[in-house]
Amino acid sequence: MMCQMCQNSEATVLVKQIIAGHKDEIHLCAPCAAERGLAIAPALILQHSSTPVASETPTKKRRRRASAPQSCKSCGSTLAMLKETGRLGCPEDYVIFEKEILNLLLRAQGCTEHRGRQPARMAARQAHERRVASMRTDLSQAIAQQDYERAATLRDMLHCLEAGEQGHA
Amino acid sequence: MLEPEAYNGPDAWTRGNGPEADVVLSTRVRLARNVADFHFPSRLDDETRARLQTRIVTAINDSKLADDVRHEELQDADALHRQLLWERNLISREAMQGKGVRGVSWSAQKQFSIMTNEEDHLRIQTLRAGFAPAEALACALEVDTQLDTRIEYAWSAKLGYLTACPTNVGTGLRISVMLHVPALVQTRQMDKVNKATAEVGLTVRGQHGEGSKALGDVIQISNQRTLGSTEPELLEVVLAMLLKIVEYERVMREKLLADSKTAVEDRIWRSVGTLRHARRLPHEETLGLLSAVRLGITMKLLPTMGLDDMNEMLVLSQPAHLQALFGKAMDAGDRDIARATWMRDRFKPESN
Repeated sequence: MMCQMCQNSEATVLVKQIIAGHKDEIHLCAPCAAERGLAIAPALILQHSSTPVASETPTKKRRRRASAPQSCKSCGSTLAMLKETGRLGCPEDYVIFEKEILNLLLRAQGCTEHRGRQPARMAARQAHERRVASMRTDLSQAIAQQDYERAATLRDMLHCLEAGEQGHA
Repeated sequence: MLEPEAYNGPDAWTRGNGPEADVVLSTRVRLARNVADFHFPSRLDDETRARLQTRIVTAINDSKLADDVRHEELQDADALHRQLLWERNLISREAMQGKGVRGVSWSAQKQFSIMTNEEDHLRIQTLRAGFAPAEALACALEVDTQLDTRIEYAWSAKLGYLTACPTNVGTGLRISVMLHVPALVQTRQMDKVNKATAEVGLTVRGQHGEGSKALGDVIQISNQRTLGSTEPELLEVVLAMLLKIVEYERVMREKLLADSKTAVEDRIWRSVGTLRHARRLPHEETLGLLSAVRLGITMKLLPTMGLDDMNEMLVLSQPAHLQALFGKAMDAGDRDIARATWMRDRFKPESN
């Protein structure tokens, strides 16, 4: 079976998760599993890695260090503080330490996607975005069909919609 | 020191008349929410906390959630009063013991409380007697909807409601059910219960949450995950598993009675005897005795007593409530004597 994440390599890791009573099985290749923070015996990763380990690991580490931020500009939190207390300093931390938090969530909660309710303003914004997106599709169709009259109307409506959104922001 | 209405009998959620009251004491639902553009409470100075709190309380008042909403600044309240609120489940341990500007708004009528500046800016809580997760969730979501129009919540499209601790992110929802399971404990079924609940993402704790012991055979079961499922899905898991556990406890009570009626009766009547005659009753011991009596009532071995009495006694025999009842501060030794005096009165032979 192929890895369900990269669709590239042979799946060697089976992840079983139970969320709200629903059992799910995900087949992953070793590198994809490792990337998601799932602990696997190192030997397994080596066996399936296409790049020699000696060169891959240090480069990856260096790259991560170079890109990982030291601290949050807004609240001053560092990764060390997060690891020590298990608590974040401000909502912005979720963006700054995204990679680490997603790994942590995958371990602690088994997933990284919210599916529950959302604030009313978000529901309204999403409806708006859907309207804009569908109008854009209509517009490119109209242009493709050389129906310029309809395209002009759609363009004006799009302008109105977008101006309306800016007014609310 | 303490206002009379604060301890004048237990709140509606502690009464013994809820669904499945023979096994389930109470249900609690909480939603963790934060206000956008503010650091989480642990990183705020008192001035900002106070500003934020005023904003939240104004939103609560404007939303007209209930006619009887009352607000208290916890940093100004004395320690005993805070403990009273905690023993009554209106505030968390963190809100009781924490530092800095923080508060609680609650309505007895609608049975909700909203903590401000706890671990998160807002903790919306609803409490119900017996097994009522659907009703408690509906009420919490209604409070949330009302506040949502007046407060801009910290939110991300991917992760949902953003919370100080990533273990609450997403729905911010925790559904907790408090159960009295003496038969499961006595017949050593708790390992099985722990396993079954863990498999569906629920967790078992002692009465007062994380790290607390299962005193008086009272346990708390709640959903562990808050992310990746919708609120109704989380509710469904709790409903399905908890009804199974309630049924399991009932079956085991029947079995206990069938297998060893005399031993069960002996334990119950010895407990009544101790409560009726003891001169000193430490809190922990009292919980064990009350557990046996509660079991006796549900098994119809003590016909003249009701579950209402038991739930009230569980609340009122706690340290802060006892001091409120006697109208004075007491150390642990004096409390044990006071508790025994109060219990002797409640368990007088003619009242039983």
